[in-house]
Amino acid sequence: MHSDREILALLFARTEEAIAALEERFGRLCRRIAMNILGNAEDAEECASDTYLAVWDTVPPHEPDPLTPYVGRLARNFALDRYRYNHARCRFSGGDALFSEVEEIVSGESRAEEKVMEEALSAAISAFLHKQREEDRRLFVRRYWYGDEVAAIAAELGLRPNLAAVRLHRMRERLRTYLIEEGFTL
Amino acid sequence: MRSDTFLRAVGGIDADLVLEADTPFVRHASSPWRTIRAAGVCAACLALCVAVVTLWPILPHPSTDSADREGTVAAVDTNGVDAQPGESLDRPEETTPTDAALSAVLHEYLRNAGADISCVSVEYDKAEALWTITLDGEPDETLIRGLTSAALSAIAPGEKIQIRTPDEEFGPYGGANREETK
Repeated sequence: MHSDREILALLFARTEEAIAALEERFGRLCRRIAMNILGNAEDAEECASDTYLAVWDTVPPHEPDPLTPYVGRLARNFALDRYRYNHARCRFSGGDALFSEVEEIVSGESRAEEKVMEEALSAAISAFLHKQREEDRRLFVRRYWYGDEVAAIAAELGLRPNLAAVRLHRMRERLRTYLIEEGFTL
Repeated sequence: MRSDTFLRAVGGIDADLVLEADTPFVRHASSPWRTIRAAGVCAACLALCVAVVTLWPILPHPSTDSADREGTVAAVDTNGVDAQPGESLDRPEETTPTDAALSAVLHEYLRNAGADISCVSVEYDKAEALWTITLDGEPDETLIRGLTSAALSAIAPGEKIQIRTPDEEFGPYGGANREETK
């Protein structure tokens, strides 16, 4: 399996072997994230393919290091786009639970400047997470970045599912308070 | 702000957070609380145990006196009396203290008096309600009186004391036995 450096080298050399290397290295991650949001293997596979192409299109000029968060973020965004598309057509998927939980933090209000605010919001969430205990950080990121099921995360962390759910709920409340204090309009 | 905007922002969190979350979690330091919980002890049971331990000194405990009145012993030092836990002692129900306790009183008296003699045995005759105390030396009358007084203070009303010494079967004071009734 190729390392980050080797894959970046293939991408910068514009050789199509880079796509195969991405699939080999990140295929499982991309499908996992997309499947957690969409709950559909076919849609998840499409999101993974879209992700490899997006990496091909953006590297270079970008040179992300490490590659995992970059590739995973692209996969998430494709999955969220697909979720919106599917949701508009009233198709249920695992993403419903994710959106429902997150709406405890933000309102459904649409704002034009949201795209601009996204990077600042990412930085604020990062700062918030760095202030949390490691176990809580992992819980949050596994739930809202990777989209993993609460029960699965709880099992890995050695927690009861109910306790994990309660901790997530409290973190959402703390995050909401933190973001408001930081000046975000939720 | 739309919820998917928030989720996209979560997607942009620091890379180290993303990488950290996908690595095996190792607890760095196991707290006593975690150890207890890992052993399957629930919070309610633990709280109950803590409460009992904390309140133990002020909780009512079964009296050893009542055990004696029942004519049985727990796991006590019987000082030569072959009684097992739960086994009946050969003495009246109202008798206090046990052979061992009376013997202890006598030993303490002799030690405090600086006497060069000791109590060899303490025997109880249930039919006569008579405690027989055997000494291994020849105490003077003062010591005998003090010893008798200490013994009488430790036995039940109605019981009697006699003291035997080895040289003279009937004692240094001329009687067959020195016997007093409380």
